[in-house]
Amino acid sequence: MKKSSGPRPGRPALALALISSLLLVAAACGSGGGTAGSTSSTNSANASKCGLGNGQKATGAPLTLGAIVTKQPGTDFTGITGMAQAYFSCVNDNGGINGRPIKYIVETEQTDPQQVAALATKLIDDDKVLAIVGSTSLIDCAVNHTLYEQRGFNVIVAGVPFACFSTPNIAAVNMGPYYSSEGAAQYLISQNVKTMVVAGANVPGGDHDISGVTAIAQANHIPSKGAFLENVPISDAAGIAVKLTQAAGDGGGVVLNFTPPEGLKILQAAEQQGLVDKVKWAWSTPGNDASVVQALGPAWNGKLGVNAELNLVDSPGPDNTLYQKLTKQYAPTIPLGSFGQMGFVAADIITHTLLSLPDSQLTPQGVNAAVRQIKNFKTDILCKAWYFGDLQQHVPNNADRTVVPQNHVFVQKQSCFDIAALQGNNLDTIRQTEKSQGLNGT
Amino acid sequence: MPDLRPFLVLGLALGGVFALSGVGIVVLYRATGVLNLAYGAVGALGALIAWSLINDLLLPDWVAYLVAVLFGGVVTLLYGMLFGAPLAQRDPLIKAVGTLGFTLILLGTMSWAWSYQAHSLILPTTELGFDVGEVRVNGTQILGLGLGLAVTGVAAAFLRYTKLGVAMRSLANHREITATLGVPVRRVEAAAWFGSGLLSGATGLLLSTLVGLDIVGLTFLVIASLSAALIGRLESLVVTMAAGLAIGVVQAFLTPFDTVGPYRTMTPFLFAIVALLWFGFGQPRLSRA
Amino acid sequence: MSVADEHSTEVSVGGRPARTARAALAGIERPVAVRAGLVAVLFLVVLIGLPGLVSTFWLQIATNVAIYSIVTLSLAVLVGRVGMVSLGQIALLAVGGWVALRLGFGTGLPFPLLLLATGLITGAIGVLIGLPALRLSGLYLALITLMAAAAITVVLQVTNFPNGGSGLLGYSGARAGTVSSALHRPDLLASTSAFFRTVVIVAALMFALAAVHVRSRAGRAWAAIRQSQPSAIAAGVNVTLYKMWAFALASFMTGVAGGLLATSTGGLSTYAFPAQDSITVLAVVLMGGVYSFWGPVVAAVLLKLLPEILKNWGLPPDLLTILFGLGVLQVMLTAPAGLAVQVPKDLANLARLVRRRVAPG
Repeated sequence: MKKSSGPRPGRPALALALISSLLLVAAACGSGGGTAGSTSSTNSANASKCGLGNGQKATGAPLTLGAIVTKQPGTDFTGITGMAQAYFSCVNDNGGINGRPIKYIVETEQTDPQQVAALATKLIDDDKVLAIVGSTSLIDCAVNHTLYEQRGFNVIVAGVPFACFSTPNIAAVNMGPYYSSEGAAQYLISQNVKTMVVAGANVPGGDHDISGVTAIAQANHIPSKGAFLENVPISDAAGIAVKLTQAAGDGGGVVLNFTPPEGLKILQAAEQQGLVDKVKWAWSTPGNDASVVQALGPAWNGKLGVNAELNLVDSPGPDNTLYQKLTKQYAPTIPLGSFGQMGFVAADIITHTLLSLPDSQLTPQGVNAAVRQIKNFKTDILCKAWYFGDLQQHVPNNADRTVVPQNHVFVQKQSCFDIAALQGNNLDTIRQTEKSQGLNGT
Repeated sequence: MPDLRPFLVLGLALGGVFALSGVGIVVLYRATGVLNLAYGAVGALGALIAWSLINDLLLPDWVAYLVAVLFGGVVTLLYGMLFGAPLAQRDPLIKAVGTLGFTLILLGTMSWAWSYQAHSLILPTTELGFDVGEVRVNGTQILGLGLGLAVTGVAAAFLRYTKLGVAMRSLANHREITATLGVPVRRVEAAAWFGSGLLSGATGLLLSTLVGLDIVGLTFLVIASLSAALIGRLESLVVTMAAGLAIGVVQAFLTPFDTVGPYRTMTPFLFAIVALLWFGFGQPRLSRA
Repeated sequence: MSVADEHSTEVSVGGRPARTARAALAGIERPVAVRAGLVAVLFLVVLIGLPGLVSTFWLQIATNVAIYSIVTLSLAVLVGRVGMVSLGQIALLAVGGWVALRLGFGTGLPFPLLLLATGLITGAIGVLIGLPALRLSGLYLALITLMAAAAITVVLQVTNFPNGGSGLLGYSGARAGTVSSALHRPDLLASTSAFFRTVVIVAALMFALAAVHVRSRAGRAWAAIRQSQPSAIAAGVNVTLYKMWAFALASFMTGVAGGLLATSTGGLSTYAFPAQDSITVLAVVLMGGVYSFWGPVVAAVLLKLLPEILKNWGLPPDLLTILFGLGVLQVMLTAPAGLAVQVPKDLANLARLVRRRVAPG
């Protein structure tokens, strides 16, 4: 039998090409996912309009905006910037910003702090963006907030780490894990749980993110039975589910603070172990996700309270209707869900801001000054009007809803309620400022 | 003292899957000298393909599962046929590094095509189950443990009593001599690659149910199976199985304890480090240089 | 900086036929002095000229490349000179960063001393980890470094990176929201170009350190060990000592790189050291080449510069992961010396071909 006496350079190369193409064919058939359970009746007469809404293509000198977004195996936030881009495309097809189209530069990053710092410099110095809008990153707020403060950039983000909610130059359209976990705990308290347990992802600042749950339990005289940080990606979800239910005991409450795939693992493991009804379950806003609600079976109907920082995906308001329309027309591969809504809202805010400025003010200084002055921005997607404001800390989205799964769709369980002010979470100071400066009509 | 009984069940189930994949790793190593570090990635890709078949193409579940298992076998066989022969004479380290390259290719493909959202693949066996006192045991856990035990037994018997199995064992030590004795070396190797790949596909499905369908997690769970295989000195299937179960149970038992709980994911690594140092692996056992 | 010193033959990591010295030198026909001069000129151009030529963004990327070139250098020394494959360099990089941050927040050491201390401590840690593993060889050594690296990663996730908090770990959860885990730079190095130049100089020092080692007794002992460990023992080489030395050197260099990383803009985050990186860094080191000193530079460029270029062209970085996987397989099959040797060799062969055509007879 003829033996191979050594490497044959030609064959493997061809073979590699063959394997790769096979894999890629398989991959191409595999991308994307099912649509969220949308039962909306899209009445386009009721939809808001994009920009000027005049159907004319914008042809002037482009206005550049930027964003930094995490995209790496296991974490992909490009759905948010993709939706913002869809909004801008619609604006560009409808007269642009007083005739000028928007050019949106989205920089993806792989959680390398040096890379993320460099990308912020690139956007500001090389691309000379007018504003940074729609960034969604695991580390951008923490790494770059000092740069934004030094350069006077007021950044509108969909925030993840606490730095997006605690620094002077960043304001988020969403609520973030710290306040939202507290909101999830508030829901459980309203359901009369006997104890409180919280588990969150062991990421930088993760211990702070779940501290609000313990604090509000104590404020309501409910014994706190554990605050657990779990390494992600989770490899023993079943063990965690058992541990949490044992710690909470029968009739206790368990709050989860994880990204959609990780939290889903725990819930599915809990279902497999027959633990759904042992305790009352709640999840911070990452749980408000289309792929999550599709994956949860009927055993979870009404059993999981998710703190929703945005309105239901099929709600009938004009902005949300426009959001659905834009998804269908400009971004059909992005599933309907809270990610898309966040991108939509961020783009909506900056577009209205830009439209209100005279051409001479369409400079980085002018635009960022205007962003800082944003107040009373109303949209049916958020509970309260949005604002940026001249504050040291921005939590403009501080009232949420609670939604529960019902046959693969989220339905509203509690309408908008304020996240409770606690000692140390600054919400009372923030709300006082909202009143005194008239930031959101409260 | 927390109630450890449910953790025993969980540990045995997960350990059974570690044992299952550990057996796949050992059988392949014994037949070809290749320590397939892409084992987990193959399983993950198979599970993702099954997910897409079910959710995008709306095929029946059993078809998707079958495809996932077969895919594991086929893609591993392809790798073996393309890179097994040219690298066959090389040091086991070179062959293992080659499988690291394979891992990167699979990781890149998966993250390119499937990264958008959370994926969930739950085997239907999960809905079956029974209660042992307060502890619930579901069908997939039984499947994991049972398959781990069964495959270990079958593989051990196969290697000892069948012609193909004996051929695989002789290949491990003396490839050239085995060839001169008329054993169809390439075909035997192909059988080893394919069989090991089928196990990897099955492992992917089981782990996506028991642990979750996420790309990075599934790919690197191979390290736990690797630990089990190393404790078995890359040759004893029964010890591999026992080690897999032990790793699963110990890790599960550590979960409810506050002090050591956060470190429990280190269990497979510590087991492996102890095994490597204790057995004092000097030269690779199956070097063919 | 030649590819191989005159007496060593080109031996891959385990068992391929050795080539003669002449063949090994075939691709390199210029005198050593000219090559050294060219390298020096290139170095000065990069050091002095680059900050003026490129934008801040590319300069920060270049800084990242330079830092990681120290890591790839350490791995290339281990793999190419001693024949030891380590899958734990990224974990050591994280450890080095941790040590630097802890020292930085806890003591008032001036920056150069801080880097040195970080390197020494990380070197000691590397020795401690490596000592029990020295009996292992080849595959099993690689596996144990993988296991140790995975264990270290878990520990780091629990302890986090120091950010000025109190206690042994120096981590404060509340501060994690606003204070990044970054070392404060001395004013002299505050600007991007000043820091870039500092990093390039430190990297050059590390390369020089490696070069000195390769030419020293340690380097000859390593070559003997790489050729055949039993023969080395028979020849009286203290294998344990020299393997330990290699580990110590590689860990020292990686620790220094960790210190530089902790000082760079953005600081450190547990997100920055994913498990996949250990494999990727080995892949690029193999692709860049483990026998020459250009290899680590090529490797760092592949790792940190190429993704940005690809993104500039609108291509997904996942393609690179696939490419690196293919690259590893290619290197395993055909060119164990890596691209840095293969390309000049191919060019030299091409040159010879052309000469033969042009001047027949």
